[in-house]
Amino acid sequence: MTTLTGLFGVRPDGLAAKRLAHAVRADGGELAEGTDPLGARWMIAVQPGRSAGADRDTAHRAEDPSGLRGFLVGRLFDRSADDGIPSSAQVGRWLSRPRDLPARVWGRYAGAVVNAESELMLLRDPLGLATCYHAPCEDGIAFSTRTVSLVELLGSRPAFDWEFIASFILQQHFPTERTSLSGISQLPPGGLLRAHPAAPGRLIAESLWNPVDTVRQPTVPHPEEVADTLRRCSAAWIAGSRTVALDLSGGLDSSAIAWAVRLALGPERHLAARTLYHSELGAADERRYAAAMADSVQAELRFIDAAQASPLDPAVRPARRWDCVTMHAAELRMIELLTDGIDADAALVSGGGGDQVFQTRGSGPPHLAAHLRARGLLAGAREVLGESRTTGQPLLPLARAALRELREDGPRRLARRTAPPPGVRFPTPAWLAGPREPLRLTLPDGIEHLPTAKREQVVGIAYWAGGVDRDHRPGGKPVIYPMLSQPLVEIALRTPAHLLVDHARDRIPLRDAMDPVLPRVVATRRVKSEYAGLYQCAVRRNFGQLRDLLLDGQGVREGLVDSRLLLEDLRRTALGGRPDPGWPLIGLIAAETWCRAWR
Amino acid sequence: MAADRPSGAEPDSDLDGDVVDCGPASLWTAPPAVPLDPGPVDPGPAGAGPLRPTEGVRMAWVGGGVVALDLRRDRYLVLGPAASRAVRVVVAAAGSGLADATRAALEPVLRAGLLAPSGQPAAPFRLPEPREPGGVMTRSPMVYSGRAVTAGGPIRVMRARRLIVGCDRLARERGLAALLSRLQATLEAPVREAIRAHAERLVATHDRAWLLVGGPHRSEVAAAALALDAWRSGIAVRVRLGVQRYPFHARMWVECEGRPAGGPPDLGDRLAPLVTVGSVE
Repeated sequence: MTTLTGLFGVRPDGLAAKRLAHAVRADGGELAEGTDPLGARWMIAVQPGRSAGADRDTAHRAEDPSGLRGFLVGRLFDRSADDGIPSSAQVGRWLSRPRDLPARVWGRYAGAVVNAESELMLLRDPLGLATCYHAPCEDGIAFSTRTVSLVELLGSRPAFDWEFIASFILQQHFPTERTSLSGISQLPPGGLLRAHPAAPGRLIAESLWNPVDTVRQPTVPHPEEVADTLRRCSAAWIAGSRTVALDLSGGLDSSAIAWAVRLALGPERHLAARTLYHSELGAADERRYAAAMADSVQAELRFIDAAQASPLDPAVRPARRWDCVTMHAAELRMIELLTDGIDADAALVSGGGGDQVFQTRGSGPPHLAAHLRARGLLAGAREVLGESRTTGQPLLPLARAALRELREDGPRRLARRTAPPPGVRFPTPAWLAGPREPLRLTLPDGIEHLPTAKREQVVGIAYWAGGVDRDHRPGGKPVIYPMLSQPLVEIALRTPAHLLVDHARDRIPLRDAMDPVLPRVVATRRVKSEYAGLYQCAVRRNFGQLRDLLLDGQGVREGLVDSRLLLEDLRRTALGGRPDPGWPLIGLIAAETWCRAWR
Repeated sequence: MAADRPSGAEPDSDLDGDVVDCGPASLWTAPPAVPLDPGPVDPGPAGAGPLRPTEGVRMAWVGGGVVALDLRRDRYLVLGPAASRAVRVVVAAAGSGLADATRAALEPVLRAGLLAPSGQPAAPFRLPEPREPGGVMTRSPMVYSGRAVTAGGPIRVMRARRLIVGCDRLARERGLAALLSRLQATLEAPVREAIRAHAERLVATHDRAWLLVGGPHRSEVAAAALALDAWRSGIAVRVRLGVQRYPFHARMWVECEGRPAGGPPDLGDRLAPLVTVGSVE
């Protein structure tokens, strides 16, 4: 992955500047630098990544006649052209007005530019697929798209942020400006940070794009528009790749991506699909759906038995210094096998994010309220009855909850609402002895004024985009998530809540779009697989290693974890005695693996 | 039994001695009458009879180990690998002698009061197992969803509702054991025939009745109410309670003519049966 790193407002002869200059020389990177009117130095460097393939990141140098200088790295697609990858000159011009950037391009990117007034601007793509970290350095700031590069600039690793790590255990990849290292912050998705030479350490936060504004422009999408957007976005991401490797579960999202990718590839290029199953757990077996889809798009399909290749296997392995604590740290073996036998230059694609973008079932009253509001009392009541019959929830309490939600989502109440939107969190495990209340989520301005169903959609997208696999596959290649393409996300956000989910169907716009093109067995599938057993079997398989990792871990030493209760939970999970995967436990395993890599 | 041993379930001494609590068998609010660890228990002198599950304890072999339902405490428990193997050996043995290794492995099971000397010679038995390993899709809808198009009329729906509310209260106040006792007592009423269409229609009736009930849908309550209604209507059905591990899941359902009335058709094959009330075809 190409890395963008820089300094602003630092001493010209300071250690940080020398370190960055040395790193650029050693890696053969590019550098833009200068001195501000007060004599402080700024440097923006791009260091090339090692990943191969047509889908690798590009660095766009911004050099504008007005004096703007800097870089934008990642993958950018021109909204106005079907196959358009904008030129560096174009990007340079657009960066002079960064607020217009999301209207012109979409993709995965982060940028840093200094304008004619010597003002620094840091920016991150609207969905947060790229990352951008920053920390105080000397009298100014240091920034980078990789934490490891930032720490090298700072000269030493800051302490672990245990408050953040406890929140990660409870909420996984929650949207926040904090990171797992104290003092290192990150730009929120769609964020723009400005720093002025007069006060280089004082950062002014602005927003490039706010999903709430998109939600407020409701439109009803046509199925062809959804299918065409998905096709065009997938084609843009994989343009030029000879081979595409796809995680294919045979569910709606990954099957839709398989269809779109095959259209983009044409019949000649290779589509390699991998499907994970567990030979001893019936609930985690989706092979028949995946086989039907692979057959339909002529993909080479390989099944991977998780009984032989469980996540957490081996639980303790040499780990790279990932940017932040991530659940992928607990799934390395599984991730490795998903790319087994795949060319190094293949584009890696996943259907992840579709559940959040187009929304799966399960929100209940918020969607019922949306139906009641949009379709009237009679149709809404039919929806409540259908929901009750489908899910087995008692009718009267469900109807009461829907009406309460309808009242809460009334325009006048929404205008006055100040309560924070609900987060996604797991019940606090008994063994968590540290902070038991998670950190507040950083969410777009005005989200509290959206109806609950749309708030859930915005929060869900932020969660999923925060946890995408950026560099855990072999070779450190970021995985492509076409469902998290900006044009597609905007269609979903603009779709009214009652048109996304009803009592019989979820992800309705995507389902309608894909209905004519997917095999019947996939299109009519109504159940999702259950992977809790797969994780529990993995805990059992690696019980000894995990016990050592956790009980000798930083969490116990820092007093974050009660070791006796933790061991009890670990045993219960290993013996398959719980109904869920035990996500907080897997989160702790990921956190300890991450801490070990950074020790 | 390599086929139903979960991945990596090679003998793992780290987990051998465990008896792990999986949670309550019902929504019983009363405190458990029997503590999980009552202290040292002597398996008894030779001649006290072979070890068998204590009264009120049901056991099954699932996912490569033993799952126990302790009705006295209203809890499900899973046993570690060595303890599971030892239990499997002793319940299948006719005699009362125990090898030292088996005695050591059984210690946590005896301490939990799950096995006791039978007091007299007892026939060996094999722990029940699922016919198909792998368990069920636990996320699938839990409602019965009968195939019958028509449900019974309002009087039948209201009767079903009364039964559901009654079973729910019984399970909440006195636990799963009380619910099973009530089923056992009602079973003594005469039944006439097992007509599947009638059973399916009754499922549809209860499906409607559930819409009128407060509280979450629970398979124990649904199946108990359905079985009571069936027996009172003269339809021969049986109630089964099955369990799985990886992930843990317990479900009660009603069978008519050997197949589940409503719900997935392979339910009975994929869960290990812990309890059966009613005639066995």
